[in-house]
This record gives sequence, structure tokens and C-alpha cells, in this order.
Amino acid sequence: MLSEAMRRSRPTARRATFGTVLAACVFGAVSASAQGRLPRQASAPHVEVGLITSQATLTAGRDAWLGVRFQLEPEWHIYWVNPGDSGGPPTVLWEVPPGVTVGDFEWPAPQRIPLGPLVNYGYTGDVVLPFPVRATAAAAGQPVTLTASLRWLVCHDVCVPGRARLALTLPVTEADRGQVDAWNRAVVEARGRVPKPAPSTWKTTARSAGDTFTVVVTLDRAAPSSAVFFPLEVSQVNESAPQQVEASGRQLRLTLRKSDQLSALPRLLKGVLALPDGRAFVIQSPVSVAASSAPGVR
Amino acid sequence: MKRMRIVTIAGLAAIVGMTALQAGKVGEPAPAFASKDTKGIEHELGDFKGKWVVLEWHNNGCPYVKKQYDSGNMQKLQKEWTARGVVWLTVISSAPGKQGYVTASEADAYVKDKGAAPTAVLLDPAGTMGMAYEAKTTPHMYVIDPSGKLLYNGAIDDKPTTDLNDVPGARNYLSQALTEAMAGKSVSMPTTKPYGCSVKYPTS
Repeated sequence: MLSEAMRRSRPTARRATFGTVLAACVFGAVSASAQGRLPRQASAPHVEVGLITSQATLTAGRDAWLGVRFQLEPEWHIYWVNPGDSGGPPTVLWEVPPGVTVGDFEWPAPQRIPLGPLVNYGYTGDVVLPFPVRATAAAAGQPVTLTASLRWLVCHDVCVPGRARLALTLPVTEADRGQVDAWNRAVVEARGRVPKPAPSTWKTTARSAGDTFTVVVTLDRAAPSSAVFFPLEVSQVNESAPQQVEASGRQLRLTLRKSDQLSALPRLLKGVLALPDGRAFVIQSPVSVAASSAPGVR
Repeated sequence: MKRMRIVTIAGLAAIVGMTALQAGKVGEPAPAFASKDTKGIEHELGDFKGKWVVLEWHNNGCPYVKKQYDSGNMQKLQKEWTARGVVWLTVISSAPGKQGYVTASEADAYVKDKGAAPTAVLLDPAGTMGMAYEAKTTPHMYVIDPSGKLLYNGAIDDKPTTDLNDVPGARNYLSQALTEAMAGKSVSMPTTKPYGCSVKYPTS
């Protein structure tokens, strides 16, 4: 039953209340009653996984930001929401008390991780996936335990699937109180790397011609000399193909090879534009078809 | 006469160029290959004209592949479709020293041990066939029709996990494509995003 619920949680974090989980899953309720025994963090092959919180207590009606932290061995990686050519993102199923809701993960901008001719989109090092938690006044007035059933794939050249059941209770215990400042910094830092909506002063166009999309982003300042586009929808852009980036004045022009899996022209091209200064923005544009897009035979 | 020849060469160049760009593209002729199996027999795409062909990219150490073989699902599919006349080629593109690389006898032992039933296991340690198809993951599935046209390129099913429990409830895209195509229908989902481990191509 638990795996049934987890299956439904793919591909992104599931927003679940304890009530819905209880209805679907007796086993979940039984183990939640024994939640005191669940650890806050766990050691798994090539990664330490833990739950952290940016604040010691919950305030009714206001989002608290927590995070799932993956501390990876050097050269090992986990995946962004779009994993690129292979692999898959971490998933979570939450069990929380009535009156408490848990939001989806926010995904910090990833990096391109090459594997021979293939490319993955993911993270190395110390990774935090932030998520919001909100409680009603009744719920926030007593200890709130969040129980996470986590699954992930950690890869170097080879891949190892991992899973853990972790729990964190708010207010945090006396023993954990001294760590909250450091956790707060980690969550804030991770949220700072979550792509922002593109400024309203930017203009993005996307054009389809032959085997490529040409995305032109007009910024509000001089365009940087490099940038990386990470597609938010799978099977639109070829994930491993080199991206051609040209800057001219305030314009960035990206030439992106289409995915082999693209069977029909997408209505909208949507992705994350990561700039060399570390900032990242979500850009999107309807796709227009170039007037002279008849393929190359002259 | 001379002008004609130049035009012909330019035309060929255009065709070759397009083929290179459209590797593994559904609706186009499937990329050519010539690859030896575990018995030392070379197989070419042209050998299978008139037959339905399935290509399955394989790596015995990959957890996504283990999900299919430890559940018995891949073997079941191999038996089901080869019984209906389909040629099933399991392709191993792992480079020497990388996960999934096997000798011919190791590959045969795996087939026997797992009760697998492919028509042949092709050994592609240089990754030539894999790169011609732009195979990205293990598993990564392709269907080629009797005229040599690629009809399906993508995932084995709609549950991109390593969990054996996800096999029974999955919608199998490969079977769906074969069922539709062999009934003379168009394939409703000709491409899906393949999921799995990266194909362990040579890195240098």
C-alpha cells in the first residue's frame, strides 16, 4: 500500500495530509504511531540524507521552510526535476498530522553533468531541496511530526537507488536547537538558487526551424557571454547536445537541438536560464515556426 | 553530364547529412548497424527486412534493468513477442571496464541464468550502434517495422523507477507500440522519454 501511494507521488513531491494518507494506507498510520523511533537523518551508500528546518517552531498560518538535505560523496550526484538523459529525481511521500500541509520541493538550478556523450542535470556536494510547511492554529499549538518516505537515485558512473524513512518534529528538540541557525543558512542559500520568474522587462521568443529551436532572450541589461538552458519539459530539447549561445547587446541567442523524442511541435518552450553569475530564471515562450523552415535540400 | 553528377553528389550529401541529424528519429529509416552477437555472427539491419525488430539496450548492473529482469518482465516480453515472429535484439553498449560490459560467454550465461529469450545479444563495446541510435539509457527500446522504418523510440513503460513493485501496474509502451503497429494501426505514442541508467559509452 505504501508503495502504491509513493507511486502516485511521482514525478514531483506529493502534497499530502495525514488524513488522505491514513485513508489510503493503514501501514503508514501504524508506523507513524511509532514515529518517535524514526531518525532525522540517515547514512546511505554515497550520501547522507536528512531533514532540516529553517526555524525551531511553526507559526500558525505562515509558511515555514524546511529542507531535505543530501550530502554527497565527491563525484556522486543526484538529479534535478528533469534528470536529463538518464536517472531520475528524488521523490517523497509525506505523513503529517491533521491541519498540516507540506508543499512540493523547490528545485535549485542544476548543473550539467556529462557522462561520455550523455548529459545529466543534477547536483553534487551539499544539496538542499526546500519545501514549505503550513499549519493551522490548532495544529501549530502542539508538536508536529513530519514523516518522509524518501527515494532517490545516486550516481557516479554507476547508479545506486536509495530509500529512507525520516522524521522531524517541530518545535525541534533541545538537542537540535543549536543547529537551527546553520540549517536556516542552508535552506536560505538553497532557496536563493531556486530559479526566479523572469523579470517582466525581459522578452523571450522561441522559434522552430529544422532540427533546432532558437530562443532569443532580451534582458534588461547587457547580456552575459554565456548561459545554460535547462528544459523544464522533457522530450523537447536534446539534453546532451551542446548549446550554442551568442550575446549581442542585451540579447542572448540560444540555439538548441530538438529532442529525438519530439514528435509534435510543443506549444510552449519552458526552461531555466542559468547565468554565469549564479542567478537563474524561468523563461518561457510560445513556439513560432520559421517562415523558411523547409529542411536543407536546395 | 558533368553537371548531373555534381547535382547527384550534392543530393547524396544532403541525404547523408539529414540521416546523421535524425538518428533514431521515428518515421525515418532506422539507422544502419552491423554488430556481432555472442556467437560471433554479424547482424545487419538489412538482414531483417520483412520482419518486425525490437532493440533493447541492456546493462546487467543497472538497477532499472534489474527491475525488468528480476521481476521477469523483460523475459516475458521477449517470449511473447518472439513467439509472434518479432526479432528481439538485446544490445550491450557498455565499454570495456564499465558497468555492464560482458564477454560473449558472460552474456550467454546471463541469458541462461535469467531465462531470457532474445533472438540474439549484440555486443557493441565501442558504442557504435548505440551512438547511431543515440541510445541514452538502459533500458532504451526501439521498434523497427518490416520496411526498416523506425516506429518507436523511448521508454519501456510509464513508471520511471527502480522499484519491482512498479512493474505490474505499468503501461508498457513497447507492447503498446507493437500491438498497434502489427494490427496495422499507427503507433499512438511513437516517442517517450527513455528512463534508466546512462549507457556506459567510452568516456574518452
